[in-house]
Amino acid sequence: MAKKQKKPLGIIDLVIMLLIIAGLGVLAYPFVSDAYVSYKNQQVIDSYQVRETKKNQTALKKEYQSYQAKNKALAAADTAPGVNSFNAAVNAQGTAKTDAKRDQKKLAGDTVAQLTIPKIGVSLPVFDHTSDWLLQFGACLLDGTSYPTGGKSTHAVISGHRGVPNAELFTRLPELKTGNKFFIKIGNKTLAYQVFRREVIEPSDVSKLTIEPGQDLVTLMTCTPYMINSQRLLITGRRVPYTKADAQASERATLWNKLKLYVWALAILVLLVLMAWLIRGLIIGRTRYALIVPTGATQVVVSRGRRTRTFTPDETGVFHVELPGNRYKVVITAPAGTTRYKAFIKRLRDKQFTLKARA
Amino acid sequence: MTKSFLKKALVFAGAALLALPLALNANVVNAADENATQDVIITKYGFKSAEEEQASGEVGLDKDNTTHSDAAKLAGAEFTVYDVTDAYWKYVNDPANKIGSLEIGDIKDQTVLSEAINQVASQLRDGVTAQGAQTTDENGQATFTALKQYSSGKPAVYVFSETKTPEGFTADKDFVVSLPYGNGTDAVKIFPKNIFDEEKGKLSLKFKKVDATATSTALEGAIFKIVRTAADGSKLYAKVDNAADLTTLQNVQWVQEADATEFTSNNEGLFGFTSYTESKQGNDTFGLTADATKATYAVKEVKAPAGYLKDAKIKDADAEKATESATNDAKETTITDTPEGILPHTGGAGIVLFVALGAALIVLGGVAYNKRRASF
Repeated sequence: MAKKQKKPLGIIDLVIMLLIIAGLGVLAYPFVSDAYVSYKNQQVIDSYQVRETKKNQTALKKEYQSYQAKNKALAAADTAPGVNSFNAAVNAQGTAKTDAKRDQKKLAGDTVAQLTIPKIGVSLPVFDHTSDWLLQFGACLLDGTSYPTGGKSTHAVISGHRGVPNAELFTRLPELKTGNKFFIKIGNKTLAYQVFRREVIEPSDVSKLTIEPGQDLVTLMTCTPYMINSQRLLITGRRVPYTKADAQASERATLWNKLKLYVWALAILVLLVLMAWLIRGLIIGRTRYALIVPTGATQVVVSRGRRTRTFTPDETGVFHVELPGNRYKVVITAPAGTTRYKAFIKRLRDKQFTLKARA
Repeated sequence: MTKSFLKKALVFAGAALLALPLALNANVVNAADENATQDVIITKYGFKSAEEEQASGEVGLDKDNTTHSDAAKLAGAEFTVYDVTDAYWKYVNDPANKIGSLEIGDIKDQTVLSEAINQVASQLRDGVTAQGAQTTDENGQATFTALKQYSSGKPAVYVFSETKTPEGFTADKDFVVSLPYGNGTDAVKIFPKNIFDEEKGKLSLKFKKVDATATSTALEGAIFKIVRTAADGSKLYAKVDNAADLTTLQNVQWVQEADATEFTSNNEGLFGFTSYTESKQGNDTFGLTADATKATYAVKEVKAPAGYLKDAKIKDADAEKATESATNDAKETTITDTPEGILPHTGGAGIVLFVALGAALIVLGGVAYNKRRASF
C-alpha cells in the first residue's frame, strides 16, 4: 500500500494565504467601510427621526417655521451661497479638522433632514452646515443656501463626497439623470424633487446656486471628474408631488442602507469558508496520495492542465502511483478498453485518490 | 467773503448802468422811437467762491468773460423785470436824495450815479407791477424780448430782480438797466454772476464698504463707480479729479460709464466725494442734488476686495443698490460685501487604488497557490 507523507504547512503556504487574505481585505475595504458608514448613518437618521417624532405637532411646526423664516431672510438678503472663505472648518483640500472620530451624538444633533436617492441607493443624513469633518459622514447643507423646507424661492444646496474610500456617499451621483427623483424628509414632511438640470461648474462659480425667484429647488453637489475633483457637478431637482411609489422607493433605499452591513457580514462568512477550503487545498497539495489502479490495466495516463505523466505497471502487473493531492484527469487502459476517470481527494484523512468515471 | 462779493457785484451791476439816462437830456423823444423795442439777454454764471468770481474779472453789460474755467453757466435762475421809469425819474428829481452833498439829479459821473441807483434798485421797484419773468435755460440764458425803449415818453429804466436762485447759490442783488442801449437795435447782453453758497450748497456722497457678515469690519480696496439716475431713468457716472478725497469740494461731472472715475474704498472702507450743487453747462450735468425727484445716486461695484464677492444687489448693472440722495450731512450709505463663498472640496482619490491593489494581491496569491498545487 502507498505510504502517506503528510507535511505541515510551510512558510510559503502561509505567505500565499496572507497575500490572498490581504488582497481580499484591501479589495473589500471600501465596500465594507461604506456599509458600516451607511449602517451608522441610518442610526443617525433614526435618532434624528426619534427626536422629531417626540416633538409634538406644534413644536414641529415651529421648527419648520423657523427654517422658513431663515429661508425668507436669506432670499431677501440675496447673499452669496458657499462656505465663508474665512471659515476654518473647510479648506480647499477638504482636510480641515478631519482628525476627530465619528461621533454619533454630534452627528445626530447636526442632522436636519434625511436625503434618499433610490436610483443610486443613497440614504444619508443631511447636516445643517458644511465642514470637512461632517462631509466625511454624510451630506451637508451648503452654508448660505436655503433649508430644504420646500416652498417658493428656496434653493437648498446639499453637497456630498464622491470617491472617498471609506464611504460611497455621492460617488454614484452622476448616474442620476434628468427625470430621476430624490427625496428629502424634514421634520414630519417628505419632499420629492425631480432632476431637470445637470451642470458642471468651476468651484468658484456660485452663481448657479443662488435662489431663483419663485422656484422650489434643491441642488445636489459633488466633485467631478472622478478622482480629479477640479470641478463641481450640480444636479438640480424641481419640487414634484410625493407619491406612494416614491415612498416605497425611499423606504427601500433606507432599508438597503441598513442591510448593506449584514450583506457584507454574510460575505465575510462566505470568505471564511473559502479560506478554509483554500487551506484544506494546500494541506492536500502537500500530501502524497496513492492512486489505486484496477488490476489488469496496462497503462495509466495522469494529466492536470497541460502536464501529463504516464505510468506503466511493474513486472507483477501492479501500479505504484503516488501523487500530491489534487484533481487529475486519469485515463486507464485495460485489455477491455480505455476508461476515463476523475481522481480527487474526497476527505482530508483519506489515504488514496477517489476515482470517478467520466462520461 | 460774502460781503466783499456783494460789494463787487454792485460794481458789476453798476457797469450795467452805463447807459443810464441822465436827468438833463431825458426829455427829447422822437415820435418814431415811441414804440421801439430792444431785447435783453441775461447769461447767468456761477462761481464756486467769491475769490474766483472776482478773479474772473469784470463781467457786466456786453462783457462775456467766460475764460474762467470755474464759471458754470447756471440754469434755473429766474429774473423778473420791472419797468421803473417813473420811479426812477421821481427818485432822480427828488432833491432830498443826495450822495454826499450832491443831489442825485446833479451827478454827472455815470459810475457814481449807477452805484447810487443800484443801491436803491429794489426800492425803485416797490409797488411796480412786474412785466414778466424769464428763467435761464441750460446755457444760462434768459431772454426778455421786445422791452420798450421808452416809457411814458422817457427812456425806459428797468430793474431786473433775481426771483429764483439756482440751488446752492446766493441770490444776486437787483440791477438796473436803461434802454435804449448801444445802437438801439442789437440785443442787450448782461452777464450777472452768482456765487456758490458754501454753507448751503456743499453736498457729499459718502459710502462705506463693510463685510456683510461682520459689519464692523471695513473693507479696503473695493472699486466702485457712482451712478446718477435722472428722473427720466437715464444713468450717468461720476467723474471727479481726485477720487481719494472725500471732503474737499470738487465739481463732479456726470459722464458716460467709460469715462467714469473709479472710486476705491480707503482703509476705513469709505469712498465718495463732496461737490457743488447741481448745475448744467450746456448738455453737461455737474454737481449733486438733494432733491430725490431730480436724481438719485447709486454705486456700482466694479471689483470686490480679495476674498469677497461683490455686493449681490449691485452686481447687476441694472439692479443697483438702494439709492441715496445726496445730503449735506454726508450720511454714509453702507455697502456690504459677502465673503467669497467657497464650495467645499467633495472628492477623494476614489477606490480604484484599493480595488487595484486588492485585486493584484489576490491574483498574486492565486497564482502562487496554483503553482504550489500544480507540481506533480
